Amino acid sequence: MVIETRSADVLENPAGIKAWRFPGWAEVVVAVLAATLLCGVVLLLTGHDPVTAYAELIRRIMLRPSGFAESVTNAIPILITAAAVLLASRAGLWNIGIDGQVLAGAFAAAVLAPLLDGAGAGPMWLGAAFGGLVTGGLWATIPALLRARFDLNEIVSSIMLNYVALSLTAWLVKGPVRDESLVAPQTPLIPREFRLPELGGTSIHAGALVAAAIVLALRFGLARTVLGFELRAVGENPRAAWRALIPVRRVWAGAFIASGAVAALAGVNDILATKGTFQAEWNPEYGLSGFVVVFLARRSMWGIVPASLFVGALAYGADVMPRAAGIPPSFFALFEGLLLAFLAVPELFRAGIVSRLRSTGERR
Amino acid sequence: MVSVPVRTPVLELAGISRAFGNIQANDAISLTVERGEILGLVGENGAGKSTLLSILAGLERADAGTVSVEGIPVRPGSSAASIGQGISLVHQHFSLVPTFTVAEQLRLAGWTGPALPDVLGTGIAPDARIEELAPGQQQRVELAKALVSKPRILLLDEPTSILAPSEVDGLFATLHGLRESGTAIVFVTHKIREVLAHADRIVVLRRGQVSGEVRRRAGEWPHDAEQRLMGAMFPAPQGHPAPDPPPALAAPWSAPMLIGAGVGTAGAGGTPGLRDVNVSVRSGRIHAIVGIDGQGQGALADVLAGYQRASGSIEIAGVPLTGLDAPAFAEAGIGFVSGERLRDGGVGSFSVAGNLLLKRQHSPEFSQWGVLRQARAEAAGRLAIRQWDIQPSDPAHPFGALSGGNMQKVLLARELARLPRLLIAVNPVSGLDAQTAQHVRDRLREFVRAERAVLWFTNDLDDAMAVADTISIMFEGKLSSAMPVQAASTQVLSRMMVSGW
Repeated sequence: MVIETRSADVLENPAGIKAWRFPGWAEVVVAVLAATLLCGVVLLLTGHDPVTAYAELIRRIMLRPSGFAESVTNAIPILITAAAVLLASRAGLWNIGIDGQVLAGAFAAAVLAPLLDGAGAGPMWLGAAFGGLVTGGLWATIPALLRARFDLNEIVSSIMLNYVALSLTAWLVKGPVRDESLVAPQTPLIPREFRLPELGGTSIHAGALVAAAIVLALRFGLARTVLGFELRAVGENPRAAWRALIPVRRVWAGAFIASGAVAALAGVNDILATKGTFQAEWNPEYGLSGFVVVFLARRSMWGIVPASLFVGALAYGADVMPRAAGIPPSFFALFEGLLLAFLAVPELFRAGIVSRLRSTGERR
Repeated sequence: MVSVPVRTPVLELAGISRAFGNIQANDAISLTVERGEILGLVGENGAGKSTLLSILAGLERADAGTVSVEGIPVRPGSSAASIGQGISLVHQHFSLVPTFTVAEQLRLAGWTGPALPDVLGTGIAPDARIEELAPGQQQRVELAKALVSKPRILLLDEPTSILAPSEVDGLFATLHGLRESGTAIVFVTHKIREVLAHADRIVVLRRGQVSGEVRRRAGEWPHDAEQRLMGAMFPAPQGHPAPDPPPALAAPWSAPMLIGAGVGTAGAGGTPGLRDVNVSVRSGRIHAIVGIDGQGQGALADVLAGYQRASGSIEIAGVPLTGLDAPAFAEAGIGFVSGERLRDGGVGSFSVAGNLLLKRQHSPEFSQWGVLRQARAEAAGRLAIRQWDIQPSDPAHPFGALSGGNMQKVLLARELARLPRLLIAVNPVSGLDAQTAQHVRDRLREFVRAERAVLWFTNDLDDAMAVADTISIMFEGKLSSAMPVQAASTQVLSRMMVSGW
């Protein structure tokens, strides 16, 4: 399906290649309002006063320093996964395998870090991050190569690998790498003094700087480097990129593997900063949040920073609102899901009204 | 009492205006079309013809003005309303489902009968898949689809732009038949010869306004019809510049730039494979390969540019390239301009400067340590915009929002800046207005003077005769030997295009 750009040459120029047009700012605002309203109705139906509940949520996030810090802490891995989603999307690929890549990265970090505790905190962090990066990248290599070599849809293969990653890490943690000294199946706990430090005077840890560095590096890489230029050309129009001598399949594979490696850092962040250990069956499921953020930000690398904070605040709400107002965490999952749905609605309308199938021709 | 045949307008447009941003695509256009009339709508690229057709077909909504069919206003911006009142549009770029069969495609448009519509002609099987048909055949399907609803008004956007001469005659025979049965026909084209041959009335659009109109009376055009049309299209005080005198042929002993010997491929998707093709292009020459669509030209162009493997041997300026890939061909001096400007040529969402940078992003001129030198890329963009008179002259303008002619200028500027030894260009002037087409021909003529060569693929024999030094015909995967254009006869060549040799 291909969507027309609205220009004077609607008929003279067939559309660009992008199969999906991302929502405009007005549509983002409308989607947030619509999700808020519809969730308000759900609150009403389940016996809550939506106005009081939303006011309480905002009060806790905005007016309490701990609420803000918690929201930022939640936003860090979400921002990293959103950056990973965005990187693949710029090459025209959907990385739905984020959850599996996060697990791969977290698992590698949780296994490596305790082995490196003799070397000091710095080398431990670097070693764990490097191990996570490589493991996440390797995990993403499977769908990347299937796509680049055999045109197997990366969405399907990477979703499937999420389940494989969950089961595989759970098995490893319950068996080969289990810390027998602990009752629950998990990897050895990283001591407090080896966790990522908090930034001066706040309770926000140094992972925030890593996430910011990732955003800056990807923004620079995509906008200013030859590789980024080629990656964007492939994402926007693979046929034209191929004609312009860009190795399209290699770019696809590279972008997807890089996306998996970046996503893995979200898992490394959780192990080194907040969790300290990998527990069997643990699955933070950042993938969906990453997609919500990318859509909210209209695929802008800068935009994912505030959008991650917004979604991080929702996650904070899911933490505190059960106790504060008796609103279950699933309410926030509903909010996020509805938000994504509302962000997608305008596209359905456009697809129905203005999409035109393009002329056929020889295939690559 | 003798009844006087009264010609009533079946379609009436009053004050149609439509702006896109700062561009006034249609500016208070008023027109009527009569029953059983063929109206030719001509104008340069960007004159507003396609926008006007979109408004008539309900695909676009006018900012102001009304469209009525037999006096009844048509609800604006609704293609269902337009079709309901008898307006049907044949797109220039087809709106067909590639994976459907012909029968499925027609059924989708509401066709019910067991017998295929006559307009399809022979040679199109109901179970043939759309993507396997040649463009000319796809257009027949598109036309049949448009006629399913038995329209009173048939609109055609550049209907001949991808057809071979024989197919054009067939199309117009069909249109004349429809006219006899009372259908009003509006067709948009750049080709003045075509409207003079087939229209009853010609309206010229320029910058969104009606700038001229000529009517045939008792079958005859006014004696100055052609001058009036040219004057309305190009109102420059001196008129249209006279064409260059035919260029002197470069020295006959000039070295071969490209030699392809015994080139063969397997056929695919309804198009024939190449059958023992021998091709040679000499330095300083423009060689045209002409054929009806789907005779294997696409495959030959791809093979000679390294995009597709083939048996046989290929060498460029003495360097053997057999078995290598497209980057190696480019390195050896092949330039390539695709016939599909927006699909294969450029990246629509990239800027003009970004598209000019493609293929050169690795050169030390434009990158260092893997980082782009943006200021240089932008300066190169500005230079190309000035040299080629690309409009609008903003290097940040999105490529996809350019007119076809300006897209072509960008793509040619990009290729020629790499100074290839041989440029392969596929339909380089198709769909361009007369002025831009001449500009492109002049540029390529100038280009080959510097010991370079052009291989010009086209489906338009006139186009080839206007530019080439030598010509060969492609038919069912075979290539005829090259003939000097001066010695070639249009009659012989067009017969070869249709039935081989």
